[in-house]
Amino acid sequence: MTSDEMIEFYKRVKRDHGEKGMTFDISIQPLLRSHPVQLDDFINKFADLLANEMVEKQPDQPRDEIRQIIYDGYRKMFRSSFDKE
Amino acid sequence: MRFQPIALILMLALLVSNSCQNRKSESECFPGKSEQLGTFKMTKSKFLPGKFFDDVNIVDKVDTDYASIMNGLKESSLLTVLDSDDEEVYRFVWLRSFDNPISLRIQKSFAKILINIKEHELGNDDNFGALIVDRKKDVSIPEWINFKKLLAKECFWTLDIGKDLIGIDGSVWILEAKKENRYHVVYRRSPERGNFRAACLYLLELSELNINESKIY
Repeated sequence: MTSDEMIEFYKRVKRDHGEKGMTFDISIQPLLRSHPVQLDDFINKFADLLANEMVEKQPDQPRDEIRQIIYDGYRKMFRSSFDKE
Repeated sequence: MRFQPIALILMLALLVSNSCQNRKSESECFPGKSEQLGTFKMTKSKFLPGKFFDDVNIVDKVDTDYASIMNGLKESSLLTVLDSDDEEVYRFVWLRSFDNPISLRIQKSFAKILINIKEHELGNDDNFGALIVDRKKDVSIPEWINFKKLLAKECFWTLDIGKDLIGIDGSVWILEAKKENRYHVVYRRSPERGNFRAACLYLLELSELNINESKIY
């Protein structure tokens, strides 16, 4: 699965399950483990997507700072989950 | 009146210096006066660093009382647990003489941010009250950024711990912070202005606890 396909998967999960991020976190981790996607590429695209969604809702918010928090957070989360295995 | 260029230059320099201070980023202030967990002395209850009670005579009694309040709020010590390197926690403990103790703990773990909201009945020596609010709420990343900006304006990590902990009436505002397994705590008695107060009140706003204006002291 490519990172673009993974992004599409996220969009589908969100459409089917609403805004609940946890649903996505739980769903996507096994997928990331079973498919050797380029993790950084995926997280980059994912951080862009989420930051854009947030700034769309609140245009006065600092997009780059938001994006950085998402990127750092998910990068560490996925990495630590892999390291445990 | 004669024009005083030197006075004008000094005023401009002061203005620039103040505005630079307000623009401080967190990286300029951290680690500041924070200390690595496990490297400093704690009180008997292990809720606070020993130096928190530096200007208190009856340390054990005050420490026990504080531990009772924190246990009543079902809050754990931030000093005894090592977190993952992405865990960042701030806890505002608000102790008012005539109103309920409140604890607001905001916690970021990876990209997930939560605030834990607790309020305890004030009670008295014979009848320690019940926990009347115990809930958590998601915090958005923009809200987290806003909170951190208020701390950065005050350069929170470089602030002194506080003085005159014990006083007659009023309140004590305690803000603990833990980041990268470093810890810092600051308290102020009934702060009336400033970014420390603003940061604590921002957590109160995020908590959606309805506190009457007259009870904010």
